[in-house]
Amino acid sequence: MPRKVTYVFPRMGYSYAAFESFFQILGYDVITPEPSNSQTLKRGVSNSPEGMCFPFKILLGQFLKVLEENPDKYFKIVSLESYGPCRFGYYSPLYAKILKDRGFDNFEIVNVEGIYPPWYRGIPRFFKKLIKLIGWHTPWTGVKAFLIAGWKVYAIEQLERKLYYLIPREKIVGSAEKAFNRAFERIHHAPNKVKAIKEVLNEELKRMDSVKHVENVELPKVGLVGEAYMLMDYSNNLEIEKKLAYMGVDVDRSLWVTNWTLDRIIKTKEHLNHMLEVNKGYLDFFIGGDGQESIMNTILYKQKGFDGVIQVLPFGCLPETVAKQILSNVSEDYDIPVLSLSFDEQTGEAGFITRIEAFVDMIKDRKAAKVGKKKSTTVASQ
Amino acid sequence: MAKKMALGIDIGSVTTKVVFVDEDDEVLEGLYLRTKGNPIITIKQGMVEAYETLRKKYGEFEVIAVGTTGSGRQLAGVVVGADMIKNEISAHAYAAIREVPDVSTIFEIGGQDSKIIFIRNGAVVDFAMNTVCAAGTGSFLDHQAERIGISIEDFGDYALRSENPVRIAGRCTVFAESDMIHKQQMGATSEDIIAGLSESLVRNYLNNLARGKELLPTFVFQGGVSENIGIVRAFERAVGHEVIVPKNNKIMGAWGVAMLAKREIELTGRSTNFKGFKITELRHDTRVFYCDGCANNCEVYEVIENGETIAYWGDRCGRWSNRLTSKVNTHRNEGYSSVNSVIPANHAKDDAR
Repeated sequence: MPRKVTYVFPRMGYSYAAFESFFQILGYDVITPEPSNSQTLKRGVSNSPEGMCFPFKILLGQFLKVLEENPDKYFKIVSLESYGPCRFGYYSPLYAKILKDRGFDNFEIVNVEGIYPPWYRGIPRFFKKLIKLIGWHTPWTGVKAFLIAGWKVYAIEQLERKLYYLIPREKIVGSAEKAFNRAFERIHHAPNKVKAIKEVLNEELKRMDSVKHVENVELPKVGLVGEAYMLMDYSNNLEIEKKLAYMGVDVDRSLWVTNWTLDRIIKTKEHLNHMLEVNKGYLDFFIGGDGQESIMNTILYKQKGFDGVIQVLPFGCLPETVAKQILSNVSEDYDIPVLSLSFDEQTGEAGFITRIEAFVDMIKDRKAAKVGKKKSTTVASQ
Repeated sequence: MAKKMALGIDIGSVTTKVVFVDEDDEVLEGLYLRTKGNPIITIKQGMVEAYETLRKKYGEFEVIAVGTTGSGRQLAGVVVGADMIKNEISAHAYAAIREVPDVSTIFEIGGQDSKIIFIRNGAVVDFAMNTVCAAGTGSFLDHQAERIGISIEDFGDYALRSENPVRIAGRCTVFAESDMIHKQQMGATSEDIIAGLSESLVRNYLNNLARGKELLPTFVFQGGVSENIGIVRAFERAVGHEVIVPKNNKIMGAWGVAMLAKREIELTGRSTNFKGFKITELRHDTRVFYCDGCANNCEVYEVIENGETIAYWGDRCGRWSNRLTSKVNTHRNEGYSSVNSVIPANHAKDDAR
């Protein structure tokens, strides 16, 4: 008889609640790794090649900690696999090798990937991996798991967006966050039914709206672009969104689990065409990771009237490093300030805060100067 | 009537600057002290010293606003009771614009970090800060002066006396040092080595921070290293233009934040949070502990004044920092009320014209 399987998956931001439900519906045990902290980082960094991508080190540390703490369980480690000239594609085999070298044998690595051309090879490959990932289930259970997880991801994102909208506007500092934490826990533990999730979501959104806040204020707007994992995981980007929100800016993240899935797995063709059109003259081919997206989103943010863009890149990420250089041209041509912040295990929080504070000051300044100019031209025309 | 003053404190990695300005933003007293690993004691020393001099010069005086900046700004802010805790980039830029209104590029080199700030029409448009490399900061120069056996104050004169600066690899401090030793063993004079070092430092600075950016005059060079005439000349050679060293070059950050705090008080009409000079007699302790509330394991810092905790920070969730509602706003702005610019008043007027 096969041993009972426990699932571990990469923890990313608040979306872990949805993935937890996903495996629970399929009837498995699941352990969510801890958010990045000194202990997981230490494990990850000391067991990875030095020049490896930072997200790799983070995740390795998370997995190692889980494996170390549960020697009597058998794990399926879920990893994502990407396609293309970025080291992301080698994560799974490298995890397997490093973990084996460390003496663990109570795990296997399963991965998810999209359907890649040619379709007659891509589709069977996709299903083979999918079955390896989730095991044999009645189609209905599988569909339900995807549906519920999808809904939870959606609900959490709605709450997050609301949170970042409310923080700079709240009247009592911290009240929005309190409401959000409560709402998040409710979604996390909501019964696995679409109707129930919808109900909880609506209720909690209303409750968050009732947090005392000011409407109709125009705040400087900052968009976040960069590598998907660093961008979406609050424990690794030092909660950049929250920090920005508390500094009184409207912050918007370009990548969410929902739009990432939509763009990369479901509507790839439209996404690529759109990207080529927007990025014309800057970068018209795939460089791996989210490099192309970073450039596209910066341009789109400018077109949407944002005042600044922050690029979040893990130290040593090649696609983002390439994008960083191109972004300085974009920044000049489109007249939008771009701040590139590189993160690794040595990122000091003090230097990080200094930079984003100065950046926020700068865009407030620019905004005020623009408003001033507009006023003066109207005066002159009168 | 008691003279009204604003206090600015800049707690850098190596030095602490304490500045008192009058109502016209002129510097009345500026102290430049070594931090020596204990910022709180250094601040208190500086305040006592300044208090005595000011007392002698002006008799009774009143502090109407307090601002702190630099890497220790948060700690200093809660200890003295600051009205404004500002990052050093904004503070430096504000002071430089006040001093040299048509400045376009600010070079700032301090003890542990170096920054470049780009200004257009009196507003910061871009900035860069050294990230992974400390080559070319004050500490390195300090260390090298000590190694060669001259005092850091003479460093600039040595560089000026050189006729043939040697070329030093400036990419990394460690390599720069071995290169210097190599040149020294080959027979180069201290003067030539120091001049070469100054040049490589400037080259490294510009390569790291100003890459691909347009360097436009007017140039201003400030921060502790700007005292060093050798580096100033090296900058002038590198950019091919005069580089202005403002008169308060070493204390620009503290001066800037003092002015910003004063303006904040004037704009909001609040009274200052300043706790008074009595804080120099109080006992301050700090403590670090790991919070065990959740898996984040945050490092939490606690500041204790006379046995009473006055601030916590470092926790992500607010479990500790929300316990105390200090008037000093350490890390959370009240979003909507702080939407104001940091453009100096005279420039705002220029724009309106």
